[in-house]
Amino acid sequence: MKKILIVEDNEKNMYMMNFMLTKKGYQVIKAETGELGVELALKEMPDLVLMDIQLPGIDGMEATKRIRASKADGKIPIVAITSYAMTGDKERVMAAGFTGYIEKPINPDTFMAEVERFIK
Amino acid sequence: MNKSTNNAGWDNTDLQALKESEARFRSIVLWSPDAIIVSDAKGKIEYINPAAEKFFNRKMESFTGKDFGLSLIDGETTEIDIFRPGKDPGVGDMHVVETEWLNKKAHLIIIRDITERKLIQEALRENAMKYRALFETANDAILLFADGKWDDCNEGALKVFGCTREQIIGQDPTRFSPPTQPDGRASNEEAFKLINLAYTTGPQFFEWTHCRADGTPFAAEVSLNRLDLKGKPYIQAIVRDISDRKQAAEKELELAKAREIDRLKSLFIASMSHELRTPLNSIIGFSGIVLQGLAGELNDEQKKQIGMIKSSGAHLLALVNDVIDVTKIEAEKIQLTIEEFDLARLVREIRDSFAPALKEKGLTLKLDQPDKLAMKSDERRVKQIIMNLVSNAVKFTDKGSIGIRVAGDLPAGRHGGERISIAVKDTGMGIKAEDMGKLFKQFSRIIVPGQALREGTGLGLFLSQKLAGILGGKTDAASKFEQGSEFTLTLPIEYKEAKT
Repeated sequence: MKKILIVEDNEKNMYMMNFMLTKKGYQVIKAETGELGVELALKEMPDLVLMDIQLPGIDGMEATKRIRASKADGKIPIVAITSYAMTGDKERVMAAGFTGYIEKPINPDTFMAEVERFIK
Repeated sequence: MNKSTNNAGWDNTDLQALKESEARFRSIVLWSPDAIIVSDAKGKIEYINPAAEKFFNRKMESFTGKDFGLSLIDGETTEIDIFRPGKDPGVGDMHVVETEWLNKKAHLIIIRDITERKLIQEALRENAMKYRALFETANDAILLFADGKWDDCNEGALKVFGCTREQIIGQDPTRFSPPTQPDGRASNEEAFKLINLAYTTGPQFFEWTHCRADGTPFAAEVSLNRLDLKGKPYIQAIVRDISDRKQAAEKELELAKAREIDRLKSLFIASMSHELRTPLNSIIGFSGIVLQGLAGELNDEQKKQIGMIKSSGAHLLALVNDVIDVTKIEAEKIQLTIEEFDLARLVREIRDSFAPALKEKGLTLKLDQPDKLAMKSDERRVKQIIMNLVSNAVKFTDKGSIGIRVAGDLPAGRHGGERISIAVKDTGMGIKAEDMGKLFKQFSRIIVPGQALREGTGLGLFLSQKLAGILGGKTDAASKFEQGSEFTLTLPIEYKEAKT
């Protein structure tokens, strides 16, 4: 069973992504802060990380940099979950070490297809 | 008496006295600061003293036997200007008296050198003229005050106070001040105090509210300075009208307020766009999930109702987005993200996104474009405009087809060019000629009798046109009522920032 880590502080977004992914048969690990996200990413070695950018404490950019800086990082795909305002900073997101991004708001009609694009 | 005599018959004592007298006079003549010249009756020079040599800047030898060259009238004093070799011109007061020289009638010419005095006088005169010129041409009001009344004033004062000289001279110092100053002090008491200080302590500088002859008050900067003329103390007042400057300062303040309002507006846009969109996204997202049936199958009626929640939410979100965009455009807060992208790919994506709506209405869509078309612009905004044009076409067309044609301004098969056009043509209801003017206006909806009003915000085309303009392009419309419309978006292939 493929493991997906969601780092997201918004309860509704977390619920929505978790619901769709578990219904489609994925194992979901949840983190509400960037710090916990870094910890779980390195400990659990998921097949994919879905990372919100705006988070309390360290933000998604910083969390991703820390995961990438660690030796335990097995080139896990990390996908930024970002609102449209952020896409102007696409280059900044990619420079932080993200594999790609999925636009917010999450569209249930296309979400699964987008996620599966990033899972090997 | 044994007096020795000389051969001229003078006795020696007389001779001695004469010698002494001559020595005294010679000394006077030699040391006289005035030039002393003796000429014969015809003006031929017989003698000049050292002061004359100095005044004319010539040696005695060069004078002797020469004609003096100026008309000599005994008993008269005249001012003479002379040219002096190797020296600045000289000025002298020349006095001529009749005398005898070696028993012949002669002229004694005494010249007082007044060159220096003349220069000083000239400098003083120039200074006075300069002051007068400054006094008369200054834009500021300059007034002289003595014995409790205005005594003199310049042209500037007439302009500043808007009256004639006669209305100023002889008046009290507060004739052109309102009864009180803005802070409530009585003008006459305050003016009296300040004038006194200027007399006793030194120059005074202050802001003052004056009024013109017609009573209009104005802000002024005043300086008072004591001036002693012919032993009489005067006060020179310089009054500068600063009402323009004050107004400019007030305008600056208004501008600052406007900028603050603008800032709050931007803040409002930013927070609204977040606060309004977040719950709407939840509504749209969760109704979408329910519709997928992941939580359990829905019956047809439930599907229809949840579908309505979803489409209403989407409509409301579109409205919110449009309103925010319009506000941004008005506040000039549109930020562009200029990147290179493939327009052909974008248009294909747009076509695909309309597939369900087209299927539902039974319409066909024809796409006529090259496989690839690189352009550099704001992809999201270009997409927004094309989406709007296509969605209008779908909305107002009930049967037939929609065509999208994308073309550069060069013949097919050639790359480059400067502009591309994206034309969206439909076989819909069309627009009457008289309604064409309303198309691109904010919140304007064209109502056609007998036709249901189609869902929309009334902002779509307005926004499309504004955004096209921001991207350096335009939108055009052509239509035949009841036959169809064609909307064309023209954009530069490469966005260039407008010169401001």
